[in-house]
Amino acid sequence: MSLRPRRKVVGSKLPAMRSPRRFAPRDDKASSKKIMDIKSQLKNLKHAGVKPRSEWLQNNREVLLSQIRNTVSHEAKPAFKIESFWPALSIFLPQTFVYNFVRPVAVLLIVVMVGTSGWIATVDASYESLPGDWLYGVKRVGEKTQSAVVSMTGNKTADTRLHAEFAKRRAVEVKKIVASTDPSKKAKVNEAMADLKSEIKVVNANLDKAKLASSDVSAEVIKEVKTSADEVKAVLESVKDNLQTASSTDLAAANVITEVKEMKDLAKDTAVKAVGMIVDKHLAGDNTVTKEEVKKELDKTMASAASEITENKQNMDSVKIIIDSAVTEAKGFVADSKTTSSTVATSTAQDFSDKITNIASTTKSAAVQTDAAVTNGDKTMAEGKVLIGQNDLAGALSKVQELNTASKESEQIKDATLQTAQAILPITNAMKDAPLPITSPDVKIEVKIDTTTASSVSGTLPIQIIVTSTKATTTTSIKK
Amino acid sequence: MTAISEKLLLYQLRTKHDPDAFAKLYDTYIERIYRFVYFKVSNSEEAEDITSEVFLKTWNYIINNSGKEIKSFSGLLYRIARNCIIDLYRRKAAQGEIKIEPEIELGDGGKWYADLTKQIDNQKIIGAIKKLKQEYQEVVTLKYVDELSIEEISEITGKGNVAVRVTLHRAVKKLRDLVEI
Repeated sequence: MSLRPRRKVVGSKLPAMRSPRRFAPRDDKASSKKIMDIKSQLKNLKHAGVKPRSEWLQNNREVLLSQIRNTVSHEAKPAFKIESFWPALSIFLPQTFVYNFVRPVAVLLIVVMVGTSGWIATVDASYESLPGDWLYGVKRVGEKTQSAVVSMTGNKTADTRLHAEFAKRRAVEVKKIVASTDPSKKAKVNEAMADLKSEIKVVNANLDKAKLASSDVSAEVIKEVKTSADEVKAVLESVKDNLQTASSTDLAAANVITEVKEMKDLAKDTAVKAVGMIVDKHLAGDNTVTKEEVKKELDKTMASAASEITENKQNMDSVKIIIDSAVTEAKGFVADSKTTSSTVATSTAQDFSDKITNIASTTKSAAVQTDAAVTNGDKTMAEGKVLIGQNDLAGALSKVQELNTASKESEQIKDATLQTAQAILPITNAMKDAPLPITSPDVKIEVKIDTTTASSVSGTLPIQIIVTSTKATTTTSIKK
Repeated sequence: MTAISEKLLLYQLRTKHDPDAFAKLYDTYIERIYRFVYFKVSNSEEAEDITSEVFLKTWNYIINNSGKEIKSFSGLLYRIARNCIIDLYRRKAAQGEIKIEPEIELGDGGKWYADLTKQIDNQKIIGAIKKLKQEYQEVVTLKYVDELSIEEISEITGKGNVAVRVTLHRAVKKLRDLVEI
């Protein structure tokens, strides 16, 4: 008996295994070919099989279009409406996307754009505005916002730059107001001056802070501040000249000239302080400004101060010449009045002559002082130049400071003398050019000082005197 | 016509109610809609009437429903065509006129007889299509005759993409069986 494999025995008892139906091979190729044939036959139907009659196509088109044109002609063509925009947009984009995303975003964008563009346009338009203008508030708010943002960031460099720029703006505003014909300009000038003062103080404070802590304010930034301070000074100088020549205006009567002068000195001090700091920073190893540039700044500041001293001296000389000639005229007038007029008139003329002689003597001593200032100034400047040549920047800086003080002093002398002369000169000239008996009861003397074409007092005093005489209804006399 | 130009025409139609824009869309779709309708009705006259009605209804729908979303013009046309055909069936059912065995008639007259072999094949396949149930007829003609995408068919029929694919597969198999008989 031979052993047979068990499996085979068992297997022989089982029915033959059938493959599951899903594995039964079918004629897939033939089937898919048939399907492909059917698909291509279906496609053929499109091209040749089923087509509408061409005459029906044409007729139906005409009929349909005439029908729809009739419906349109009865209603006005809809104008563009924002309500119809969103459905129209949803032709191109999914409706949910249009309504849930595009529309809210678009509305938000428009709101932001209108808001910011309006704000930018207004601030931009307000840039040229002056105190008193309704846009001036916008300008100041804009500036304060800028300032607040910068101070929040704690960037001292930007803060210093910003306030130097604001100081320049205020100075220009003062100049524009002084040149304007606004009846309320006095108040506006005061407002702008107060703002200017506070801006310069902020710049000064920032410079002090930069000096104390070796902060991030570099010598280069300080140089920019110095340039701004010089610009402010130049603007205020021209404002002061305008005010001095326009002595008949309200502004001259007020203390405006003094204030402008103070402010100018403040700007000048700031510029000198800035030069000092540039030197200090450079010596401390700050190389953002080169040695040559530092020397140039020192030289420039000295030259500026020296030229101011010279200019003051020239003005003083002019005043002295005019006053001297006025003294001669007054003396002649006294002599004339003794022969032609009453005792009262002679006494008045004598008083006036004495007064003008006193002024002449003051002017003379002032001229001597300014002359000495020029001599000293030239000497100091020469010394300063030598120190610069020797690379002694600190020594040159002390010369700059000396010159600055000297220029301020000589200007003070010039201003005081000029003010006195301006008070007395019109009267002297009136007496000279219109020798009418000043005590005559029916004649008044009208003195008009025209200074509209004057821009500078250097050289000769720009005073033009027009004298007219008219019958007066009441007796007037010249006040001393 | 590209999808973009179709959308531009639809935009003109919706915002300006422009008949010229509608005329261009009509020229593009008239044959397709006619064909779509033809497979579901008994003769070409009916197909012409229904096609004409479909376009007029589409115009009125666009003019009167400016706030409603229209994803595509073709989708709208086919949906309206379906509804018109259903209306026709209902009317016929009410009148007891429905023909189970459609007559073979083709729309372009004598020319069609020129190619006899082709004509016989076409007759056969059209006959087979008309024997399919409505659901299969629709997907087969839309997919293979009008060459629409599954997404478009899904939009027209209101079924999901997968359902359309399954229906299409079954429809083709059924059609194959019908043609083989």
